[in-house]
Amino acid sequence: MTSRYIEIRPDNIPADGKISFKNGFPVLSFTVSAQDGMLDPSTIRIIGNFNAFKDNLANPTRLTDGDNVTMNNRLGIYNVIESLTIRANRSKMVCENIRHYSKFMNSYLACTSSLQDQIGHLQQSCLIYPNATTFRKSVMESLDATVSPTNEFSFHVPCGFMQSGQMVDLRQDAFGGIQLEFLLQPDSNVLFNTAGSTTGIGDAHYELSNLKLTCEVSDIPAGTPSGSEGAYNFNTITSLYTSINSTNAQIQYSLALQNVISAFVTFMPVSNINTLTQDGQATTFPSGDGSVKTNLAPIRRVQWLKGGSKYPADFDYVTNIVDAQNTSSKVVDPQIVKTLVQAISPDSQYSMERLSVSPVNMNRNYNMIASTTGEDSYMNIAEGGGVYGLAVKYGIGESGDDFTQEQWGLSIDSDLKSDNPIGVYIFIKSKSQLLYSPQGVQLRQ
Amino acid sequence: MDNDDDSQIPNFLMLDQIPVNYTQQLETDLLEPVVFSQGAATTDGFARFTLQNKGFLHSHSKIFIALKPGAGQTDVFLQPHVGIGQVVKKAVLKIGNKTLNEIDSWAGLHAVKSSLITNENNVEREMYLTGRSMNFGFVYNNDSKVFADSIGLDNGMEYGAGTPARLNQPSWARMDTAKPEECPSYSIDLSDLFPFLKVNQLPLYLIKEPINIELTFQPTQDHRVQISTGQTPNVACEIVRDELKFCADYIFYGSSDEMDRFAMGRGKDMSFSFVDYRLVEHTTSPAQLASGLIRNLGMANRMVPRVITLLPADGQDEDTILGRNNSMAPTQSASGVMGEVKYNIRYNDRFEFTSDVDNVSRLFSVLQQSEGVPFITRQQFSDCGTVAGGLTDDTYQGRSQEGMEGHMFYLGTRLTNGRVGQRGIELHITHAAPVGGRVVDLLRCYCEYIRVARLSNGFFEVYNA
Repeated sequence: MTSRYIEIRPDNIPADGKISFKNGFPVLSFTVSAQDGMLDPSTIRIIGNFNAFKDNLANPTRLTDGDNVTMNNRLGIYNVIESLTIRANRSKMVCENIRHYSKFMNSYLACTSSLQDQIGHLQQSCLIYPNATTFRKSVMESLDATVSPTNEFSFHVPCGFMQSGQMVDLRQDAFGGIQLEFLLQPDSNVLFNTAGSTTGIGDAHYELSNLKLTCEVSDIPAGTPSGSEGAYNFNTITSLYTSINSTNAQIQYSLALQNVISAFVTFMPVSNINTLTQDGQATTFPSGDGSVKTNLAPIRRVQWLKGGSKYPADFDYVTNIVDAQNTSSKVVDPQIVKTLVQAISPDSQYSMERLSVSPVNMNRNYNMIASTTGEDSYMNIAEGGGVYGLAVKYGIGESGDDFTQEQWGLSIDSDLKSDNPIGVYIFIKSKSQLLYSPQGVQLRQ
Repeated sequence: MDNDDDSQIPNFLMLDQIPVNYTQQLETDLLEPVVFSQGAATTDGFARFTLQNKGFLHSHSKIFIALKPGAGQTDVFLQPHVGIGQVVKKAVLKIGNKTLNEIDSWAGLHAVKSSLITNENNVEREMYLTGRSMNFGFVYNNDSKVFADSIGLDNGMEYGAGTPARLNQPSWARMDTAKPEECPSYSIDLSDLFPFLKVNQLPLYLIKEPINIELTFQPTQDHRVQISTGQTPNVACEIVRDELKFCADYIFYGSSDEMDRFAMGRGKDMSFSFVDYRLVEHTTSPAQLASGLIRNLGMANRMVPRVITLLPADGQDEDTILGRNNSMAPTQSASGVMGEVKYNIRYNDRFEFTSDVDNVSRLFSVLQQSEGVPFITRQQFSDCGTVAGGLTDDTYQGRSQEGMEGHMFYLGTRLTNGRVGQRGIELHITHAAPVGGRVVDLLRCYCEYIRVARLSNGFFEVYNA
């Protein structure tokens, strides 16, 4: 069977070909139109060029050494994506939607790619440098305030639809075309000043240019009967957001999902989100231990609930610092680490080799103070920045659990004694099935 | 004997069809070369190994090679991305007077294939087996445990004091002409020499013709090792004759007469397809590349799944880290703006890419989709992000690590349009290659193509698919 490499321009590109949230283009969308071919979704790459500026003049000023403006270094180009939506082009039916995509990717990259992956191929393709200083110097800053260096990217789009291993029948009477829609992050949720100041960078913004979608489409030999009906199975992420502000937090949701494989949650002080003074994309411990808001507030006890009862573990996860001999330990409870990795990494690909979680970046040895030079600042944690989250896995293998009838819940005991609301990003991994026919596409979850 | 009985016997030629718990016995021979020539300063060396016709040849059989540096050289090293493979110029596998596999400029192809090995494996395994040690870590700034302006090679050793700091190879890897007994022996895997053996294995006991492995070695000067600073240049480095051996593992399957039944059954007349690499080389210059080149790579009427393209500065000498096994990225301005690059492949009256690929990250993705995940940093591939950060100013064996920037610009494409037609494959490339210093003087392409081998009554026939 022969195939073709195709490339597609964005649907909504302005005249100068530059996409910028600041200048009124918060959505980036691509349409792979219906055609006689089979799309291999794993080959989809979004290519383009990234630049960041400290102001919004007609000829904007490039960031240079001393501006101290940067982004989350583990995320690289994924910093700019707020949400990902994949639609069937014919009916515009949503096939997959992941909100808080960059927050999801922060945990995903930490648990599925090693430091050498990030230093190596992810650097070239996704502008990832797992060190704050190297990232700032190599991606964000220019030597010359009037000339942007070349910062080209070609990123893949990790999500269930793309990584299902199945081909998408693009014929008009089958699945038809697909549309990819990226909602871009506001500049203030991407860029931040490590000195915690907005002086001179009030209009700092990023810009994407020369954007294209590339992918590979296999030709369908003439005379091949139409696969007008079929099913497309994949795992997807459902994202929820809430906040907590007490030592005992109770989170409950009716998920209405049939096959929940795992769930994981990450934290970030609400005051750090969407501001040029803090990194809202990091995944840290809750903070505010009653003395200072920037001190970490360790988690002491975790219960996972289903219908109000403990499930799947019929016991509490009591973390290591509850032990009288470990109260000031900076080491994160190993069971918390293990469940986080297991919840994010697929069973079949689970490998302790290809992850970048280590005592260097998963510990309690930092604070939430913005700092350019402070080695204890959460902004400067080595090996990609802090990794933390609570997670649970349901079912054996990837069979999943039914949450259509009973509520999903999480109970957290922590040292969060300050009045410091903590944003909680909840990601639920579940099985999905897309049924397609000439009448349209139906999503079952 | 009933030939139908062999239906229960797996196809021993295909490695993926043999059950992992199938009974097998292993026999190992250490074979000396039947012909050996050391070569000279500008003359290639040569060695031939002749295998015994017994059992199946294990695809991970090894060739052992040790080097003795020239007079006055006390600290030489191997290219970290190629290892001991840098001494091999050409690899040929012959059965009778038929050539089954022949790869010219083998080390260049080996450099590309070696980049697919994870860096973790390089530093934990390959450094000891093959001398490949490419692995990176952050070079943390003085007195800091978190701030690192740049990345640098990381082979497990500590960087020394001083500016620039020096990273050395481990002491056991040091090759010193005064201590030949301490020079390490390395190995080259047979399936690295002949990549089709990663999928197939050879039924030596069924073959009635002599089976030879012929290796052509690089000339003794400038090619076989890299020299640290302060070492005497242009001195002949010798392959240690007594250490050059082929460690042949022969596999015997089954606990009774399975191999006989296989021989009497499907082994009487069988064929399998495999890949070979055809080297196509053109001399070129930065001026030609800048104005755009169209080169016909041939391969008419053949099945060609992949094409790899390299742009080496072949004149690079033994006093660099990567030596001649490099491929140069487009040059960069002082502000970090990359020079022009455009790449496309045309055959069967169709361009592979609807418009020329001019985004280096996409070129990297295309390479990745063709060959697998390359463990190459952005600095090594495209030289981007190196104006303020990039590779460290520190050295490896006294040689500048910045000298690796933009030196692993490997281009690879999986072809999608079926059998190549009468006009062959055309490479279209425009490339703002550096005009000073390390100058691109070659355009080197490896075309992977499919061949078919037929083993009939103990005699091989080989033809193109």
